[in-house]
Amino acid sequence: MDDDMPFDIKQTYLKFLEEDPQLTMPVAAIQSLVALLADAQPKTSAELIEVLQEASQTLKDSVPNSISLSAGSDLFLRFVVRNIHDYSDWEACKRNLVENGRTFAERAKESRSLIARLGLPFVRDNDIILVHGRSRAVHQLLELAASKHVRFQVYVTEARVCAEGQIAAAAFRKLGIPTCMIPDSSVGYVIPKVHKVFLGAEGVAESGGVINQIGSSQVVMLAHQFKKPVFVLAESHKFVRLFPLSSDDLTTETPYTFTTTETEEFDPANGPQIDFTPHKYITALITDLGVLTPSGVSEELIKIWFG
Amino acid sequence: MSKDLTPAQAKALKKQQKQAQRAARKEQGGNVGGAPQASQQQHGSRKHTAVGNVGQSSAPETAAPDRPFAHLDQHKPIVSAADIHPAILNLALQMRRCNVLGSTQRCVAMMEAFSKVIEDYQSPPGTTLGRSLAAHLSRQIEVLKVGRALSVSQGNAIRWLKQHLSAVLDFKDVAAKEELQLAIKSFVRERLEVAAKVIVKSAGTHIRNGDTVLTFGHSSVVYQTLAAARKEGKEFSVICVDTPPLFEGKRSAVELVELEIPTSYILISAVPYLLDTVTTVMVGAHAMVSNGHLYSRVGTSLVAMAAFDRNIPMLVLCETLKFSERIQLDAFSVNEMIPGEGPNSVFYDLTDSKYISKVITEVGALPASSVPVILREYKTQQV
Repeated sequence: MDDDMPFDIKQTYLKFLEEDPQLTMPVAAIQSLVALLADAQPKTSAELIEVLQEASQTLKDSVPNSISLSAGSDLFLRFVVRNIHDYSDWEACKRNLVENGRTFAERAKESRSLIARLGLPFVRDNDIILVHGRSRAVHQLLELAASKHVRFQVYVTEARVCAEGQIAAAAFRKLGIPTCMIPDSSVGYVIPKVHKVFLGAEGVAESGGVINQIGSSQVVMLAHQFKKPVFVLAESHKFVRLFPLSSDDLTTETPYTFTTTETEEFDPANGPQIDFTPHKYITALITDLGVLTPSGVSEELIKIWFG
Repeated sequence: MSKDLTPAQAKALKKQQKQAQRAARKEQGGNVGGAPQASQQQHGSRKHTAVGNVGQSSAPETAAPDRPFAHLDQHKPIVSAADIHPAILNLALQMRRCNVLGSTQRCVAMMEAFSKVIEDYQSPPGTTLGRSLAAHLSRQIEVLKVGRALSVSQGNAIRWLKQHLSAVLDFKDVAAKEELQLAIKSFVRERLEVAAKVIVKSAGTHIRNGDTVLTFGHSSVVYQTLAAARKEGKEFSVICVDTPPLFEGKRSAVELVELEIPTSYILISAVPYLLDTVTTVMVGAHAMVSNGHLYSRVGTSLVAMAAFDRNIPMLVLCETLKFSERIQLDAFSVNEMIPGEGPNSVFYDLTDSKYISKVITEVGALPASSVPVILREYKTQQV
């Protein structure tokens, strides 16, 4: 980093994401804060916390959808606040925070392969699996299952607005998994033939409900109606201290508006990018802490924050 | 069972039976009005079938269809003694008459009364305050209990106070008094006042412009939430739901109208009719029991079920001081009679956790199923 340039938390964050496509947003946020710790020279612990708080707020404000990111930064802040008084020597404390921050980021990356191992028994021969959009955790699980010669087929939704279904489907086919792309509007058509639904997550709310790419909640509700199990694959660092009751409780959204004139061309990308799926529709969450029921999430969160 | 009783026990039992019978007759006579004769006859015939149950309950009745709460404790007259502090006696009477009502208010009033008890306490010669106060406090608590059964918040506060007494064991009396009074003050501030502030902030995010909030009876923390939202300039309306015999909703309605919040006042029977306009239901709690059910003013469960039926979020605003380790499955086994309101009037009902969308506490917002987790985490912290 150039010495003359002031440390830019947003640029650092984006650079981390760009450099490593396997990196998730919360981990990138943690790594950026660790980098900031190494760069900034706070004199006291109060100053350190202030610097970190300010940076994480800047980071949250700088991206349109900050839920996943804030899961990481909040967790790191909590970690710092809790450990800061354990050291008498200030330098040692800072060194330790930087080091621990790095191990934290490393461990977070590893958790995806752990999730794949825990999720493997859920993928069985002759399964027809429905996947909504693109998720690295789901990809890793299906990759592992395919490598173990489990024979299954996958429906991949197009997952508009993000439209990352194409990329996901291409990746599955590359692994030799029989894959079928479907438009989002056909979920109701295929769901009776599906055995289970796998989803990734942007964030897991305190209730065990899931914040994910838009369209997830309607897919899950259809699955629920047809009594198909829904499994959410999420790293525990995606657990957020949020408890929305419905999608419009998510703060980052730009709501749809009603008009009577053709003001602008219809562009679905202007609408919300994520939605919220209430916990009652979710069968289980496959996380690096184990396979949890939705209510198990709040137990883990309470342990992290009060334990 | 009655064969095993000693003569003294048998005598006491007989006396108890007679008293309960007399009380029941009096209540029925007063409330049924038109048909006292008939109900007395019924009552008499039931007595025979009920004898086998006498040993376990204070009233010699099994639950009959028309008197499902006959097994609950009947209210006894409040009797004072020389060492009972006037503040305690006053509070016991106020609670009995439902002038001091509501879990939070009762707990605050009790702690204030305890503070006065401690202020005026003279430890007997040869002992210190730290060592003799516990017994003195217990006698005060007995009187409060006669006034009304302790609320869960009061019970938790008393448990804390008794634990805290051990901290002043070796203090001089003056220092101990000072320390205890300060501790009581900060306990109330921390567990109720600050807790309410945190809850208000969190619950406030659920009130948006154009919303209609439905609330039931009266809750201080719900009131504070609505007041704060109003102060922030949010435009919303409130439906206050009320029910006899206590009509606590009147207080809510008056308070909200004073804040110039558009408020409707309805009785519980009109809830389904107006529910379509409601965006959120917010209620306070008497207690959250550890299986995630809500134990609160009778009528709450009806409102919750109606809201659930229409998919309207039901929020419970509850300080963790009101969390109880008890597991409760129905509102019959544990409940409390409303003094002077006839044989079928009870204070509380139980709302199943599945009807509750969210419990908002000062340590965060949780699904109702996480109540035991909070209890457990707090317990491990205290040890």
